[in-house]
Amino acid sequence: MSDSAGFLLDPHAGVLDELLRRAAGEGLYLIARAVDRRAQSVSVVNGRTEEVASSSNLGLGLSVFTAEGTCAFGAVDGLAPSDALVTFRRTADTARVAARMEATPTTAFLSATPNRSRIPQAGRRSFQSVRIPEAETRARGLDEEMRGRFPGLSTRTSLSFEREEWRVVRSDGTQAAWAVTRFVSSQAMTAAGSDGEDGSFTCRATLSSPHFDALEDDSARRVLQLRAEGAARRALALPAAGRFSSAGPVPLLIDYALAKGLAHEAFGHAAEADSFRSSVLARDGRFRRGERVGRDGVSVIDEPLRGDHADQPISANGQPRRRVEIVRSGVLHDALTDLFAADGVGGASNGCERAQSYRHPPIPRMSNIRIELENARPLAAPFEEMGPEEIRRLVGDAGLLDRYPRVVYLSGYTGGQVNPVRGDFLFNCQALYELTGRSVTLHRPSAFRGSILGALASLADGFGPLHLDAIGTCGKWGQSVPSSGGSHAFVLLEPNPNVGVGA
Amino acid sequence: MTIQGAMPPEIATLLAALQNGGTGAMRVADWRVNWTWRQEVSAAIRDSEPLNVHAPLAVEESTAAGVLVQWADGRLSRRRVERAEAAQPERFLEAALASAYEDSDGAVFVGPTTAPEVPLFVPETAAVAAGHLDPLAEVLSAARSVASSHGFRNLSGSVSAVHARSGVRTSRGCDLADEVTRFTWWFSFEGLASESDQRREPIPGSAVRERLAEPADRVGRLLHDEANVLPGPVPVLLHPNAAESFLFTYLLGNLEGDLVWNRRSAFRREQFDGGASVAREDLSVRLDPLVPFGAGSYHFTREGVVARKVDLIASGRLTTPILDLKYARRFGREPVPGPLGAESLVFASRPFPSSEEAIGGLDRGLVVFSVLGLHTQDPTSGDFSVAAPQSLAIRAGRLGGRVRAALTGNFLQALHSPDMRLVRFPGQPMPGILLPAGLSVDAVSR
Repeated sequence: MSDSAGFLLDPHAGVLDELLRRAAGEGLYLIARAVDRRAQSVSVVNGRTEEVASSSNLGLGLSVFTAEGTCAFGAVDGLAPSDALVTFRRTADTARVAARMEATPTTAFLSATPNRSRIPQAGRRSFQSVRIPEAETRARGLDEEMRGRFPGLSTRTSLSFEREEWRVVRSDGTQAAWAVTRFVSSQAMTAAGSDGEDGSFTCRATLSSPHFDALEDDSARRVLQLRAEGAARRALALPAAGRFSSAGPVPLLIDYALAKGLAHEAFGHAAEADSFRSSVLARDGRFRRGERVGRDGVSVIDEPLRGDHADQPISANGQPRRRVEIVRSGVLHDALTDLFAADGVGGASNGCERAQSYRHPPIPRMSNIRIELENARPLAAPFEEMGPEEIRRLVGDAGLLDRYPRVVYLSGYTGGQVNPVRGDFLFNCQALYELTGRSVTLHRPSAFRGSILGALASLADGFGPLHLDAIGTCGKWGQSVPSSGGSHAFVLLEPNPNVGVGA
Repeated sequence: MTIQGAMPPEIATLLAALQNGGTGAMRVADWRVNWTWRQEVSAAIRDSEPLNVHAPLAVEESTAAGVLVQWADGRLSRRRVERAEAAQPERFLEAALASAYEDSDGAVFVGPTTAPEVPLFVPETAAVAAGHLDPLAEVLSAARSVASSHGFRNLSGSVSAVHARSGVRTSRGCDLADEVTRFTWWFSFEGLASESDQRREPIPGSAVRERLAEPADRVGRLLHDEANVLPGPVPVLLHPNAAESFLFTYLLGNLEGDLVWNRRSAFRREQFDGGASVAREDLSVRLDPLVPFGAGSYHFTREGVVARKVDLIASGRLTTPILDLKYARRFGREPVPGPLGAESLVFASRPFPSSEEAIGGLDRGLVVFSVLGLHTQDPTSGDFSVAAPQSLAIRAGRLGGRVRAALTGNFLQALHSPDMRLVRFPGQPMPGILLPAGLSVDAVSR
């Protein structure tokens, strides 16, 4: 059967149904997840194929609840009926043991609404249609192109293809199934200083799509090419660049990939309902709904987008995933809740549970998260064609260089981290540009860090349309899941003593 | 090596198919299978709620294999599968052939070899992994008692036990197998101070309480901000947890052979040939994966390279990259296995001062317990720009209050400094590092 049209896990429905019968017979509540994940990747380094790898994972994860609400989680590879029954038996026994270990009970599942829905993959091509020789040729071509245009760079080009299919059943009659496809093309360029003493710098460019044949589209190839060229130029210029010295709070302009990082690290994690007993956006276990944390017109929104890199239309507990306005026009409004942690915002589950695989218990996570500002200013050119000089003109036209002696522009997201308990966050860029009325100066990457509430209060202006295809991988509690998001092409943060860059 | 149980039947099925050599276009010339069976139990506490639905008592069993196949036409396939596909060799071969590619340097298959006799299996831990959960409850209880005695509102962490069997077989006669156990815990108080431990045997509650005493005391200091922090260059003492992160990101991360060969490392190929100086001359880093029951010990890599002691940095000079079979062939060197973690490494330097001595010798400085964002840095440059919100000021040789610091500098350059020192911390297997003044420390007030 072609996976683009149907569901590969349908033949295993009987195994899950039998587990539901066993659970009912023992007075237990069961949430069972079957997952089929297939992946292939091609890596080319400096024009040579470095590795082609493929993998296949099929397995079962079980959340078993006793009548009192204590829970245990069990997982096993494969979906063989005998293995599934042994795992159910072991998990059920463990749930009863958990009660003796002072486990924290919940019966929130009793108020859940059964969900029977099936959402097929957005990708137009099946996983089986991916031809590795063609992908290898494509990757080598992309790699050679960059090496030809920028001699002396060390290049790495990767293409990855992934399909995940989930089937979730619950004791309340829920039968949900969905599939997602992910294609990512990424290029990393490393440049070394001329004398070997200036260090080496690596900059990256990526393009994601639900379509495995995305690079057959001329416009998609052009976008990747522009991004890769920008990364290559940054990498080549950085060894000669100096470090940025901050003389206190400065106005910060960040691109949409960094804005995704800010939304994700600083606001999204703190709005995940499983952390409300400790998050700075909650008090005494309840989300601080209604409190003003930003300016009018500033919103932070998380929602699954069809075909997006982090799309998950249905939660790992079988709930439909909803749009969540974490901040609505400057005011805390809603949180990333799940079936079991919705009390903190008034009892509504937004279906935000995700799990890395069948081997992991679901926890509230983001999908595609963005920062939106009202009355964003227009851009003169597409984002990929906005170089540092064009950006200097943009902020100059907006009057920022009249108000401030300099604006610091951070470009290219390399990842971030947050401590939602203390409210500290940090993320990093690929390059830092100091923009003044007369010049643009490139500096080495420097961390953007501060307090969550300080950053929220500083968001001031947006430039350009929304760009939501910044991608990454989010790690939390030992689990990694795809993440995505963005903002307007550029976002401005006004100077704030609780937000800093450089040292 | 004595193995207490049989190879999983699905793996045996896959091996039999490979040994038969496939058929037709799926003709197999050489192969390697590295397989793992593991059983694990874990228990956690999230924000002071033990074993809640987001961190439940969990039991898991898995069987997986990584397979390298060289087909009759010379091409290679690398495929990772779990038990369902391993049990269907025809399906495996078909999928593997579809992703075949040319890589002559990658076609290296280890022959007959013998793994070192290093005991890493403890039956009591295997019993926990099989469902005897009392030791997990004891560890959770110990952490909760420490948190309670200090009046902490927030405790998070987990404890787990793993029993694993693994093996590597090749068409050239390699037949390695082992059996190991791991017992691991970590806990964090108030989101401010954390600690962890990993052993082969179950860790008693008393040992957990002892290990958690220092981070529990640290929380009290971190809850009070230091007054009158002056930004500027000061010596920074990295706690072993932070030092490990820096060393793995900038030093060990740049020793990977594939990165060196492809000019994606801070170090160049010729620097290894010439034994280039990359640190002060009294600093040495040695891989030692052969410590009986050591948390960083192992018997062989997934390619079938047996564990051995290797000098990675000797007297401040590069000796060898970490080399898998493919890059060992390209470099023309013997394969060099890498560390499992800091516990696999031995650091040598001039006599280490204790942390008490190091702090006492500083008029002004900073102790950094953890940093945010090290994984976002570019290790090839050596540059770092990170937040260190869990830091304590040092004033006149004594610990002061909390400083929410930002650190900027170049770690690779700092390793050359004559003022850089390794520092012993009580109860910590890994040393801390005293980095010289020169780093920029920017205090950020809340």
